[in-house]
Amino acid sequence: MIIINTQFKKGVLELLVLLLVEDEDKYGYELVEAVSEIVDVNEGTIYPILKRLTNENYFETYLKESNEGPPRKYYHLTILGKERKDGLLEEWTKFNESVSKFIKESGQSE
Amino acid sequence: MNKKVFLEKLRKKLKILNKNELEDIIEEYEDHINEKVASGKTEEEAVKDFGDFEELVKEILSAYKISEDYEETIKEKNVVADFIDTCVSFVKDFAKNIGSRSANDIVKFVVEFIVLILFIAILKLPVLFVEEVGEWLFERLISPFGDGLAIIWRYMIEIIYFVLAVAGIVNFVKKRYMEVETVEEKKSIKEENIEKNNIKSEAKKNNFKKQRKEGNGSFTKVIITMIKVFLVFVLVPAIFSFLAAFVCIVIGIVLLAQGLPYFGIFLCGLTYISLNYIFIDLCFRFIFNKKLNSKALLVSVISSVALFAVGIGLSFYEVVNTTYVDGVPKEYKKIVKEKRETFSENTKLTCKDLYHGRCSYEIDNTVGDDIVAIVTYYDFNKNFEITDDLEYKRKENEEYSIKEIYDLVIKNLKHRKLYDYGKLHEIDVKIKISSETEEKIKENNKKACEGNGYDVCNCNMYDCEYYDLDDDDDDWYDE
Repeated sequence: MIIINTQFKKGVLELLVLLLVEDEDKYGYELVEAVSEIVDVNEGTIYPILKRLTNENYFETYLKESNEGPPRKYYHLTILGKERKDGLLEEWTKFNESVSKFIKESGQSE
Repeated sequence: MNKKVFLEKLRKKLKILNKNELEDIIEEYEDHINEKVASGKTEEEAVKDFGDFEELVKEILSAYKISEDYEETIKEKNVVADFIDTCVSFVKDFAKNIGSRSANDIVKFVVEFIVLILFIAILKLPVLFVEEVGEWLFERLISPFGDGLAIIWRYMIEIIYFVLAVAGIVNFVKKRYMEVETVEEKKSIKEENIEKNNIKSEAKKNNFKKQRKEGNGSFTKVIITMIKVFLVFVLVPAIFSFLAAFVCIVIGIVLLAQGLPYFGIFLCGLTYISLNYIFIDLCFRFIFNKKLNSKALLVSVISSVALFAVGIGLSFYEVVNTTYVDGVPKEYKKIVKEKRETFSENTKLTCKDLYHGRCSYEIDNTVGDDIVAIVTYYDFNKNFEITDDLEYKRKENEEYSIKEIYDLVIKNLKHRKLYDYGKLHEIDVKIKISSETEEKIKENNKKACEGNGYDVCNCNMYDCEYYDLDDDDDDWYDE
């Protein structure tokens, strides 16, 4: 599990959430659980991100009946959201590559 | 912390958010806790997993791009800075929204606002009329307090008018503002119902709502902030007037406690202060966005005005029943000293020498060659006496007492009587002379004047006007 600082967290969390919803629509609690498995993050902080992404039209939401309890609100990635995910992923990959490269060159890697 | 407490706390902290947004996010957290509970955890544990509460609030607010210190910033920002900010954002929004459909609403709002202002301005006419009539009545009918009452009357009417006008504007702006919000709410409730049935694009709704709100909201904000800035300037004199009225009321309570039968005037003062307070309270509530209880406001304004009317009636009765006596209270005795001698050039009985107070000559040919001086004063004055030679003599160790005159006025007012208290201090000097002596005094004065080396001396019995012929400037001097 990765522990990261807040500034960094925001961008990474956004990417993670977008990636998690890409293949399959998920509801809030499910998403939070999934993200918590990858990064050590406060469970409460995912919801504002979902909300923001929805407000920025990256997500669409709909209600779906569940077997246990009340209907759940599902998040669905829009086309705009897909573009956003691709952009963030590219940024992240580039960033990751250049940092890894630098670490290798400076002989820090094991 | 259990679920209920947590959600309430969160709701309070996030109240800056748009109502729908707030409910949405609260619902998410509620669902989350429910899921946790369903999976076997307690509510407390589920809340604990959210980590530090303040930290969470910060995160949520920053996701909406709101500074977490928003509460503090609102407090610290002064009204003028706020005004400038709002103007800037209004111009921006206005430019953005020009040509959009909300332009229609804006025009409607402006027109309605102008009509409202005109309406208030026209209402000023009957107010002015009432003001003038009242003033005229007070000045003619009730002396000697008429002037004072007229001023109070004018002030009261102005304040009532102002309170009503401000209340009208506030209500109008509020109503317009609220209307926009309720329309939005209704719309979103409808849309939510649709949502229950099927998939719906929430994003679109949010976007649409945002645009609407920016257009109408910022315009209303500019108007509100303009009124706020104006009210801040109005508040300063209002607060001073309140403080002054408060001091007057305290004095009034003391006077009433001493038994003055002028409850009506006190009542007028009391209602004045209450209207003044209502006005200040109104301004404060408006400036700091506090809730306004219009029902309570209306009740207090109406009851204040009604009490004021009663007060005016009572004070009219009280003032009419107060008699003004052109003299001094009976308990003070007149002291009369008289001196008589044959007129000579060296006499000390002229107004020049006996200038203790008011001095006048009286032509009385029965006195012949004599000059008779009569000095009159009241035994109220204990700090001096007039000797038999009509000389003014200050008495040591005797202080003139304000307390005495204060007690006297209070005592008289208890019997609804007022006297000419100024007379108590006066020394009245009357000098009786024949018309022949009059001429002699004038001559004496002239001689004395010319003895000082002036070219021209125009003298009466009291003093002379004199000037030199070769003087360039036209100054006249009194000796």
